Amino acid sequence: MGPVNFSNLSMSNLTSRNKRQLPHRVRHPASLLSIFQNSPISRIFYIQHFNLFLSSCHCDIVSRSSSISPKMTSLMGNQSGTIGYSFSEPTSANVKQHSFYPYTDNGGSTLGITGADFAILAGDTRSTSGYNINSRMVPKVFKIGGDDETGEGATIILSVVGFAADGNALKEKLDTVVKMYKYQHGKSMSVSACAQRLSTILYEKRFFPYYVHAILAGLDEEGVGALYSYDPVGSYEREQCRAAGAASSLIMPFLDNQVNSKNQYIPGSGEGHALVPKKAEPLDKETAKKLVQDAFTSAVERHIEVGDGLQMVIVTREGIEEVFHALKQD
Amino acid sequence: MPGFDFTNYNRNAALHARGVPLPKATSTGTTIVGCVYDKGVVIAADTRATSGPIVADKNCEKLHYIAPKIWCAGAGTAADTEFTTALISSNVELHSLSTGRDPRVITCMTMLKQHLFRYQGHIGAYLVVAGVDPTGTGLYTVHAHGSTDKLPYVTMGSGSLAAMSVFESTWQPNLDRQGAIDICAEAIKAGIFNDLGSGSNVDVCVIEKDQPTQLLRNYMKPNERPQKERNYRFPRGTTAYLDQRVISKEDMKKYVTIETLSGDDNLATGDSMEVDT
Repeated sequence: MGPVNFSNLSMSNLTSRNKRQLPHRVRHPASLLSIFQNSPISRIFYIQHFNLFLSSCHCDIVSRSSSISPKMTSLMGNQSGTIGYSFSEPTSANVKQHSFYPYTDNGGSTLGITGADFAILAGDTRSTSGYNINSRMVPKVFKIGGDDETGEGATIILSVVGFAADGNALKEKLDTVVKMYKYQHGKSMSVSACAQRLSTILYEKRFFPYYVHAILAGLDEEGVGALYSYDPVGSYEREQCRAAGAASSLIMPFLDNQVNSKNQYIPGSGEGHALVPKKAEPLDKETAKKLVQDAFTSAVERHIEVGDGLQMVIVTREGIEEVFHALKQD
Repeated sequence: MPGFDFTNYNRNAALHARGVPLPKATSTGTTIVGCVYDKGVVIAADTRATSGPIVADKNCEKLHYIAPKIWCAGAGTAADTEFTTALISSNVELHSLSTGRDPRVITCMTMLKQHLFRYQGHIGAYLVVAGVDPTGTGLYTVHAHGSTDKLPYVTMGSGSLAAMSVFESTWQPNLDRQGAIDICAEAIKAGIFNDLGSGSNVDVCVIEKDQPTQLLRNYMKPNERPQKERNYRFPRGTTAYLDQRVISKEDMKKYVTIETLSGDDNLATGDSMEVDT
C-alpha cells in the first residue's frame, strides 16, 4: 500500500472512455454546484490514448469531452475558460466504443447548519435512479465512530449524497478509521482531525473518486458547532452552513439569506446602496431545525428527486438526537 | 407562409454537430390514462410539468379541448401537445361546420396521426384521444411518430407503466361512470407516487352521450403543501437599491392614459394567480 491507491486505475480508464471524463478541477470555489450537473459549457477536451486489454481484445480508447463530470473546487477558476458555447473537434466515426460506467446518481439532497453549541445534518430519505424510486427510506446521515453498530457514543456525524454505494463505502471506511483511532490512542478523535482524515481518504482515490458530496459535523474543542463540506476528491472547508446534492442550488441561496443574512440590510440605516448589511447572528437550535424543515419542504416542491422523508441528526453536548419527518411522496 | 419556419435549421445543425446542446423543452414526464365505460369515456392526467429534474409547473392542465365531446390528454413536449391539439381542434370545427355533422373521434385521431407522421416524430406529442360521437364511444392513443391504438383502457407517458399496472390488476368490463372515474384516478395516482416525472393533482374529464362533458379539474389533491414552520416576511427597507424616484400620478398622465377602477375587488381582477403564502 503506497500513499496513493492505484489499484483501480484501469477502472478509471474505463470511466473516462464512456464520454464521462475523469473529474477535473473545474468548479469555481464560490459556486458549489451539484456534482452530477450536466455542464457542457465547462467541458475540457481531454484526449487520451490507452491501450487497454479488455474483453480479450486490444482497443484504442479515445476519451472525449464529458457531459457529466463531478464538480470540484478549483483555485484557478474555470479552466475551460469558455464563456458561451464550447466547440469540440468532431471525432472520427467507426470506432467501436465499449463502455462500462460504474457510477449512478441516486439523487437526494443534504444540508448542514451549525450554531454556538450544536450542529445539524439533514437529508431526505429518497433513493432514485432515473425516473424511478429505488426506496423511500434510505438514510443519508450517519454516526461516525460509535461504540457499537447502533452508533451509540458517537460525537461526529457524516452526510453523503450522490452515488449511494460510494457513500456507504466512504461512511464505513471513515467509521473504521475513527474507531481504530480511539483503540490505538485511547481517546476520541476530534472533529478537526476527522475532517482532515476524511479529506485524505477522498484524495486517496483521486483517479477513481467516491462520487459523493460529503458533509462532516460535530462539536469542536470549544464545544462550538463545527461543519466541514467536501468535494468528491477531498477539497474541504469549514463553514456555518452548506447544502449538497440534487437540490443544493435551490437550498443554498436560502441558507445564505437566512443563516448568513446575505442580501439583507438594516432598514433606514442609510440611503440607497449605502445601507448597513444585517449582521449574521448565530441561530438557536429550534430556529435552525425549522429552517431545515422549510428548506426541504420547499426543495420537494420543485425538485423531483427529493422527497419521502426527512432525516435530521443533531449533535449537542448532551449527545446525538435523530428525528424523522414525513415529506411529500410524489 | 403556413407551417413551421426552418430558417435557422442549418445554423442549428452546425452548432449541434459541434457539441452545442439542444434547448431544453418542458415536460417529458407525465401520466395520462383513458378508460371506456357503458355510456361514455373517461380520461385523466396528473398536473406536473418538468424541465429536467426541476418542476416547472405544479398544477398544469394536460387535458385539452378538441370539440365539445372530444377531449385529448397530452404527454411529451408541452408546447407540441398544446399546439397540435389546438390546430386539430380548429380543423375539426371547420370540418364539422362544412359537413354539418358532429365531429367523430376517429376523424380527429386520423388528422392527428397524419399531422404527426408528416413530422416524423419531431413533434413530440403523445396523446390519448377520447370522445363520443354518432358512431359511439372512441378511445385511442396516438404516438409522436404517428402510430395509433384503439383499446378499452389506455395509458401513456413516463408513468404509463405504473398506471397500466392498476388497469391490468383491477379493470373489468362493463364499468359504470363512477367505476371508470375511480380506476382512472387510481391509475394516475400510481403514476404520481411511483414515477418521478409525474406528480401533484389528478385532473379528470368525463364524456358521456347526451350529457354535457365534465372537466373535473383537480378532482383529487393528494399532494398539498404543508404549512411552513417559519414566517419569511422581510421588514420594509431590507433590500438595498441604487436609485429612487417617485413619479406622481399627475406626472404619469403625461405618458400614459390612466383609468381608475372602483374599489370593487371583482372588477379589477383578472384570473387570480396561485401563490404560496
